[in-house]
Amino acid sequence: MNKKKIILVTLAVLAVVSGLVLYNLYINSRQTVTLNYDRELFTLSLYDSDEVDHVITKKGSSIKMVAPGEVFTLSKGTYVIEPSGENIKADPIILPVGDTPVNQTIEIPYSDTLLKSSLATERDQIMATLTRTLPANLSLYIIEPGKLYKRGEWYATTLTYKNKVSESRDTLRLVMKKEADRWSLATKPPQISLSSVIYKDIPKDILSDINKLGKAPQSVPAASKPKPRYFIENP
Amino acid sequence: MIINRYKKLILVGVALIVIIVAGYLAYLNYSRLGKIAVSVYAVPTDMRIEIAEGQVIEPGTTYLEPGAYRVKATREGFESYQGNLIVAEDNNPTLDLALLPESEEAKRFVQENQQLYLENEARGGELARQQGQVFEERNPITKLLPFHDPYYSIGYLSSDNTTIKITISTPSPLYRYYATEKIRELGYDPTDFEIIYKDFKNPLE
Repeated sequence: MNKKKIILVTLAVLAVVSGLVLYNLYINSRQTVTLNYDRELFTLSLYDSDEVDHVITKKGSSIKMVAPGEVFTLSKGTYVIEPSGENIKADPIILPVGDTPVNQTIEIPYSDTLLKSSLATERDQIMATLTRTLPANLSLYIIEPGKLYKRGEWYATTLTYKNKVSESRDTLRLVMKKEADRWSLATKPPQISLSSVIYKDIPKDILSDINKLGKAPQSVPAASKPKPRYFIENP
Repeated sequence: MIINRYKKLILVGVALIVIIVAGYLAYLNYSRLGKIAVSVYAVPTDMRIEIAEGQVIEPGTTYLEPGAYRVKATREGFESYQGNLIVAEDNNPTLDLALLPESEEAKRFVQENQQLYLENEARGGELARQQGQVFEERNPITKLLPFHDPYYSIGYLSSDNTTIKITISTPSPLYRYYATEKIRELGYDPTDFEIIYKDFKNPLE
């Protein structure tokens, strides 16, 4: 009898301990996730992910519609969030879930269409700020239409030199930011290439994009071309 | 028999030694928290090496907090040395000093200890190679520069041996454009660098 009791108690203890271990493993394999976003602009769908040729894509159908501020748990791993809404850029976002709780604010840029139409209303204010802020030599340039970025609070454009033979006819670039309803120059003076090392507060993707835009300076007649230079020392 | 008689004493003695050694190691570890090992080589070995007001270090391994130090090395009969030492986690800091002789006695010392000076030179070469490697790893584009074209050149400047500024030299706006595009062709985004267009005068500056 005693022997039977001992075996039963041992089995019960083992069962409880195993249960606790398994529960602990389960808890540790999951993480809390909170996503904050503006529900009026878009909704978010959560997907499992798949990796093909080092590219992560969504897998299967949506596992959850995420409400803003909702706290939920996910197994650790990589997921894909897909925003959907009328006036936004619906590019998927990779969501890694690891050892620390995820508490993220999701900001989705406006769609190109919306940004283009917003630019029409902002342009006058932008032009007024540029002519007020930059030197009189601004008249040497054509201010190209430019683009709005993110949620319309960033603007960037190129300046094309009007004089086709000047040695300073490089295309210049500038970025402006709208804060408290007012536009101001974020890069001063306009430059040939805008550097993310200097302008750390400007999103790098905006700088990269505007650095790619703009026309090459026109070439001049052969007589005034620079002569080839042959360098023998380090610059 | 004697061991049995003094068993307790021996045990206490061994325990004390273990405690003292453990305590010393713990103290060493604690005193080195947040500090980085710096290898110090000195020829002659009895030179005075001062790294801060009143702080003198010895050849061997010394532990210093990350930062920049002004180094002053002196020894009678030799030329003094003054220089900088940057101590950072990823730059494998080494202070390798070899003073030049001034007095006759110092010159005799150098003659008699040429091997030490040769070793110093070899370490200097290896250090330059290592530091060059670290610099190139931080700035991989430097492996491709300077780049020379008949109409423009692309180079770089570094004032701190860590970061770089790209330089583009050409008087032509069109070739400044081509030079900037060349950086893209080399596999880099010009946005990632501060680029100095040496011959460009900005009308809007």
